[in-house]
Amino acid sequence: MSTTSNITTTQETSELNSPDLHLLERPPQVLNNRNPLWVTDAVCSIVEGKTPLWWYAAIAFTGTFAAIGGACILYMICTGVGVWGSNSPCFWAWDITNFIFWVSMAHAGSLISALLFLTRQKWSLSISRAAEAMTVFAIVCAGVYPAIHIGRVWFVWFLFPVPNSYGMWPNFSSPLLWDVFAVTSYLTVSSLFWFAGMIPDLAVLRDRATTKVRKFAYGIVSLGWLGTARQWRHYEMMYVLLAGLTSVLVVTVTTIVASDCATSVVPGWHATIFPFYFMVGAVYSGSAAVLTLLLPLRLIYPQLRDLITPSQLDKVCKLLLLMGSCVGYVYVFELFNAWYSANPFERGAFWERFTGSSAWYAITCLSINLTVPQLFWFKAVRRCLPLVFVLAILCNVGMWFERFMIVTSTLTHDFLPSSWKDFHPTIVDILTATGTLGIFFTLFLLFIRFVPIMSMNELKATLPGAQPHGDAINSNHLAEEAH
Amino acid sequence: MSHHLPKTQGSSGFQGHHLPVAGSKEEPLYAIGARFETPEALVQVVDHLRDQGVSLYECFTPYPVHGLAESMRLPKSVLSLLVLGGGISAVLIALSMELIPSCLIYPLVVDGKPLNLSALPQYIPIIVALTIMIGAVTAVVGMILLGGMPRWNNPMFAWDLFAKDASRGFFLAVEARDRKFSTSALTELLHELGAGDITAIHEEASEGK
Amino acid sequence: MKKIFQHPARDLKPTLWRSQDERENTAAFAEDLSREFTPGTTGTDGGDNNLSRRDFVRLMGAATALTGVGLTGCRRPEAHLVPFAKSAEWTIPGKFLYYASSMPTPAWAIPLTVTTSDGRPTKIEGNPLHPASNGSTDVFAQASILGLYDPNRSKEITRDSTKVSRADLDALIAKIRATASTNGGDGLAIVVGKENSPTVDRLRAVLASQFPKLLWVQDEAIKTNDGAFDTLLGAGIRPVYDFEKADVILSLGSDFLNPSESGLGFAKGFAKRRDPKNSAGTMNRLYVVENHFSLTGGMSDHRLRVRASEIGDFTAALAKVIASKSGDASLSSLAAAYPSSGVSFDPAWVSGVADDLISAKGKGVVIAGAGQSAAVQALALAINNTLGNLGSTINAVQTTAKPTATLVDLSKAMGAGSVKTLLILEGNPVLTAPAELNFANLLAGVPETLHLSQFADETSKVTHWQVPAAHYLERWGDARSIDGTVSPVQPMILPLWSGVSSLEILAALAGEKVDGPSVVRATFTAVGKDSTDAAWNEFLRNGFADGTAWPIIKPSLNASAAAAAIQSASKADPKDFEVVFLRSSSVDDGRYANNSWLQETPDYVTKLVWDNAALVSPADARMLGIKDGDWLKITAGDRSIEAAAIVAPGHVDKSVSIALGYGRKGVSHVMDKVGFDAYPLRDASNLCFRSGVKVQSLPKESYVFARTQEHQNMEGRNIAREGTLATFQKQPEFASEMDGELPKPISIYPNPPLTSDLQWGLSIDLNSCIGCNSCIVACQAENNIPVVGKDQVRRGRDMAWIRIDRWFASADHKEESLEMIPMAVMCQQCESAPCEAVCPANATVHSEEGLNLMAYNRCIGTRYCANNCPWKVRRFNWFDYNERPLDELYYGPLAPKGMADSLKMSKNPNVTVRMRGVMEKCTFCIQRIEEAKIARSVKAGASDVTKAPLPAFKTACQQACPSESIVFGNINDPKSAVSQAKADPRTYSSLAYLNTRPRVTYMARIRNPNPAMPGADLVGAANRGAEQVEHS
Repeated sequence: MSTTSNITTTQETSELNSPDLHLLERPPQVLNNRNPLWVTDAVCSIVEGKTPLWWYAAIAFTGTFAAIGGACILYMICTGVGVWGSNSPCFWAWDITNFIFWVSMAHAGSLISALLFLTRQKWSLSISRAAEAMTVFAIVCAGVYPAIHIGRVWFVWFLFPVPNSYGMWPNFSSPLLWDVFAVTSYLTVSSLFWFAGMIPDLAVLRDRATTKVRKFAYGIVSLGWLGTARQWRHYEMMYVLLAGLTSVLVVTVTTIVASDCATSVVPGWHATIFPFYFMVGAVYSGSAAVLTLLLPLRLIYPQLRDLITPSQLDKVCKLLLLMGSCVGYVYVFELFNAWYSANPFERGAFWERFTGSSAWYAITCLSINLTVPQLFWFKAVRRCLPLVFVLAILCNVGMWFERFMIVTSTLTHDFLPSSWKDFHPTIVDILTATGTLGIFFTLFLLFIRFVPIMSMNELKATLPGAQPHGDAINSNHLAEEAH
Repeated sequence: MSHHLPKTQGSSGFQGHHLPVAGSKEEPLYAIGARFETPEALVQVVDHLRDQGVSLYECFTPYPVHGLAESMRLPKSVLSLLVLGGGISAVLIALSMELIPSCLIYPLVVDGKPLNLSALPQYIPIIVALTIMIGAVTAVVGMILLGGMPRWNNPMFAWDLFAKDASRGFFLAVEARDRKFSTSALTELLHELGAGDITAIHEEASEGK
Repeated sequence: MKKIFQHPARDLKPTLWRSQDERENTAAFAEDLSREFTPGTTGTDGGDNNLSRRDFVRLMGAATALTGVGLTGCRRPEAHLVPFAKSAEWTIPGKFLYYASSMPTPAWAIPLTVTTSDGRPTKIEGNPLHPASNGSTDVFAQASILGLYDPNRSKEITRDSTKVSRADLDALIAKIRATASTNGGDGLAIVVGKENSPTVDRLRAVLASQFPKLLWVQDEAIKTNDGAFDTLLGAGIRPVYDFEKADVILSLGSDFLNPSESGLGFAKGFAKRRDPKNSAGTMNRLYVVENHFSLTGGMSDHRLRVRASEIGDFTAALAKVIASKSGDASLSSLAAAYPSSGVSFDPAWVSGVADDLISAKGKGVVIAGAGQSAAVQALALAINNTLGNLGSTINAVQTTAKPTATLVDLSKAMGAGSVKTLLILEGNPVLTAPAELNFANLLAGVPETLHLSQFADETSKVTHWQVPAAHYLERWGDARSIDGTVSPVQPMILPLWSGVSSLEILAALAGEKVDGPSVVRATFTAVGKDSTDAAWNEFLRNGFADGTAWPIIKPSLNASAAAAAIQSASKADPKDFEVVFLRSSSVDDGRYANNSWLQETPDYVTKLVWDNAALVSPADARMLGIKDGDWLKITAGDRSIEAAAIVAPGHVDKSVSIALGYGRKGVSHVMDKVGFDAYPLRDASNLCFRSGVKVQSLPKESYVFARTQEHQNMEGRNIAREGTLATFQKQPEFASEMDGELPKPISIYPNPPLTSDLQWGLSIDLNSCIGCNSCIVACQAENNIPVVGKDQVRRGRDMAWIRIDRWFASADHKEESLEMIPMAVMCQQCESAPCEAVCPANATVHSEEGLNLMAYNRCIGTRYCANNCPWKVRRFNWFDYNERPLDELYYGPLAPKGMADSLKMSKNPNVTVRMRGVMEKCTFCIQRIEEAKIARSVKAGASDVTKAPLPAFKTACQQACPSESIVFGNINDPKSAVSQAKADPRTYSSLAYLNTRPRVTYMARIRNPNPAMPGADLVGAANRGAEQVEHS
């Protein structure tokens, strides 16, 4: 039987009225009453079908940017950090801005898959895999910066707790060292979470593989998974454990990254609200990123419309709304705090941020992050997917400006006005930043091409009638009546 | 519309002992395999096998089927204990890694911070990060090993129906090594319980066919 | 003599070979073998502006031998020089040797002790033994080390730009002498700079006697008062001001506190009287009348902005009031005689000053700037005369200086074609001569011209001969300091590039045999009390000859001369702009334009580096519609220049100030594209300022200045703190109480004890700090701090370890009440240092002596420490500033690597030269601390080290500070100077609320306003203005 035959696209109205008939029912995971085989085919077809032209074009585009970024990094390493625009007092600028930007974006992925899994939020199943992939790739991009932004990259091993000729050890009280451990473990754990979640689906690809190469490759990575009851028993236990660990890790990592700022004495950084600030900001930008990635995917692969349902996207939008509002609260609270502290340095920092040379990007950041998410109060907006796409991208832009504002405007206006100095990015700054974007999308393109972008086994497990004498049956009948 | 799997063959009539054969006849019989359309059927047959004291059998499902493990009387996974152990050792590793150099081997006055445990807060973030990392690694590695992985060859692969797409049904394999193993009785039983595609699985020929 | 060790003859079919080349016995290998080092291993093989390694060793060997000379007083012939491998007597490799010398400057000699290491002079310090020195130096002396090793110096004698030998030069001199002795020196002219050298004076006398027709010209680009004093006080009589005795001081456009302007003694004497709790007499009071903010203006209690050309009118007005109040008829007649331009001044201000001066009869000083005319000098002296200050606070010395012809006379002679041979010994008249003389053309018309100079500069381009001049650290000589005491100028090293000293040429002309110090020794015999070898050696060892000081006499004003001077005064022109020519804080009159240390030392007021600028007042800027960097066209008579402007707070309206010595073209790449040349605007009649000038703004793309401080305002933060004397007496600890509503610091845990018996601390007295930059360059020289160039400073990447923040404050936000407060900021050595906590590599940690250490080889350059440093005193090596050319930093590996060997010689061997990617900062000159500790342990031997006394030493900045406002030492020792300073009630630590407990503390500035003066309530209120901002 051919895979494409039983993939049929449907109009979305079918789903819209079913929950309205039975308000107490959760909208089904998969629309149009699909069966497991259809799910398997729908997801696998993306990997198994012929590589489409747009994919080649896209990866050529993103790959170019990635390559240019790599060249810039090489140039920077053998010439000096001075090729960036950083200066005194703004010793950090786009390097840390982008680091925080990417790390934060990573968080949403882990959160959606881990936290929502723990809280049994089944609606996230179809997007969790993509979200996890996004996490891993974002961490890769984030990891680029701390690795290369230092003055003497070849001595980066001084950061690791290994004996050396000076008999000296790293300084465990430094937030930067915390970063090293936090980012390393975050990359490890989220990759494991991502990979472990894929094993059964890779096994499916292995089984369905038609060429020797694919069979061999998928055979290796699927580790010989058979789906025996015993394997599933350990597998489910592992998944719960990983989900738990990841959820804790996400909070830990954000807190640690936030303490890069919070533990310093710099007015505008030295605030206990920063961990919360970064947490909400992270989920906010992350959810936006998820939308930015999934909506086009859904457009390209029509069969996914039954799997990534409007109601799920709607929930992501609501998450965006919630977190966006939290971010807005933090902005206001920061200002209040500065005023209330009656500390001329604190006050000065924020006064300069919004009146000084940093005003243009500080105001851009606020105007986006305070207004855009609020639009998601309206169902009309949440359901108009093109609009959602645009707004999601806006949110990401806003969040980048937030990072830029936090890092740069604070450093450029610190204690002694005598050392104040503005920051101007150089071309190398810009190309390195676009380079990380290139890396991110290149990796994501490879992802959708070579691994199942959805957790098939989880989806099937929640299909109506998937479980023996489960109430899924009834919901299934309801779904039938709805037809 | 009744849903799910394509109808299995052979439900038309009982064909005695002439089972379809997978693998090469020369090789010894590995197991009798069968495919079921619904998880319910699989759970049901597992219950019967248990009653008959058959112990060497395995179920293959495309997704975790609730209740199956219970009917198979599988013990609770020990993975959680392993991870707990990993986590605890991680805490110890992290603590010693941080405290021994900073307080004993090479104490340095840094930012006027105390050189003893009263500076503990500054050591916690790394402890947490390390604990989670090692815990997670234990979990995944443990799952793989406990699940008998990695194993890239398996007699079951001789059975094309299974090997081509295991996700197309719920499979059962009763191994020939089982004390109570009897092809005829088993075939009959499986047949009664509505199993399809009942197949005698032999090992693959060592020299590939 | 250098030896080349010949390799044993090698067989051409070796059985053992060192390389394939040798085995095959190629020509290349033979070539390699014939040289001592394979190419490349010597760094540079005698490249044009480099020294080969062998030259380097020879020079050092020579130098060590010479240093011996320094003490034995007899110069060994060069033939006896030993290779450095056999070290000469006196030298212990790696240990410093110190020699007394002095730096001749137009403003008297600066007594020095020169630090030499392995025969290379590496650091300049003042000579504390010297009667006219407090052991401090000015910025130019500090930077002269780099001047010595400057790879751009001229390196060979050229005649019509072809290389000639030293013998040719000698022949030339001989020829000139021959002709001169036949025609009595007719047509022979010699131009020298003002060096105050007895030997030059002696040789001049000798020459004058031998060649009566010789035309002797002494020229300095920047005018001095000598001419005026010769007429007003008598030939050769110079006033000596004793600010230590002065209660009330009025400066009429005089920047007397600036060490480079008027020697080092003044700042110290003034500072002694600034301490508010000084029991010995009251605190002095300083009135300053000037057109732009000078260092002295920054120190003033009351400051009046007056155009330079109208200071005469102010003086006259003041004289009138004083005359009427003290009924001095002669003074009033003098004052009346001054041609008033009709401008009026705030009468309250004038009478206020007058009353104060009168009340301080005999204990006041009225000092007029060097730029002011003889008339103003006359009036000032007359006022002092009336007030009885002459003889008490103002004495005089009878110098041996004889009046000389000027460039104007010379050019007349040249114009008349009566000059046949012209020797220009140092100086650069083509650049600096009054523009209307058109000196270059005249010079071209002279048949035989010779220019002795350190650089092949504008003048050298025109003269036939160009002779590299020996740096003062390479030659013998002598010079008088302000009190007349004679100091030796000793060679610390052989001339790097065969430089010749003016003394050698003059002596040769005079027919004296030139043999090392012989010429100087001859003078010493003449001037010194005692000419024995012992006395000579003591002279060289101590760096001065006792009893050679001029006798102090009571000056008396020559009334008729004064009257004449005042009548001849020119009238100011109140309508148009005036342009004021300033001595640059970096390049003086342009002579230091090639010194990159100085180029990168910020201007006192504008904090501008690698440029000068046209300074205009904010009001004028509004009127002209310009902001910083916009272009101005300044037209004086028929000549005009274009220069970018900087809006200078505190500048007087309708006046433009611009520093001289910039905008030089085609001399070296260092001074190219640097600043704007203001010389074309000068003419002989007004060398210091010129009124009746047109200024208009040009619609050009505005110029990007490189400034180390872009923000002038304290923004309501009590960083630099000041109060009035009254405040201080009422509330001595007002400064430390200024932290206001900021939380009081508390620690939640006990800090680990700092165990050493030595705990280093430093105190800076804002009250005596005049902001003269000496400490900055001293630090640069001591700590091998690289120069980064204009572009990098624009990007905010200057490397100075100690910087001087210059704050402008005004309680009522008006120009009239504007104050300037310089505040030196270096690493504060916090006891709980924010930078340490955040370094992941433990590269910056604390020492048991309370130092915030910086381990360069452990630093990986995360730059987090610098972000977390509230004072932003950490500097990062963004590029390989030491190894790569500053204009090719962005080429990365493609740029040539390595620094000129001569520059390597200038480095302090005890301080690491940092590579790129490393953070660096002030460490209280830890190399000096360790040196002292080692010496102590040596002394202590087996006994308890902590009991042994620590040899006295100073940090580089402290040692250079002319006003002694930096005090460093052991705060564990209650008797140490620094402990005393920190005990002072004025002491506060900046940013105290952070609870980092800095080891550097500041002592608040105290102003001493006169309640009778207008705006007295706004004086010393910098922080009051601040509070208003804070609560708004």
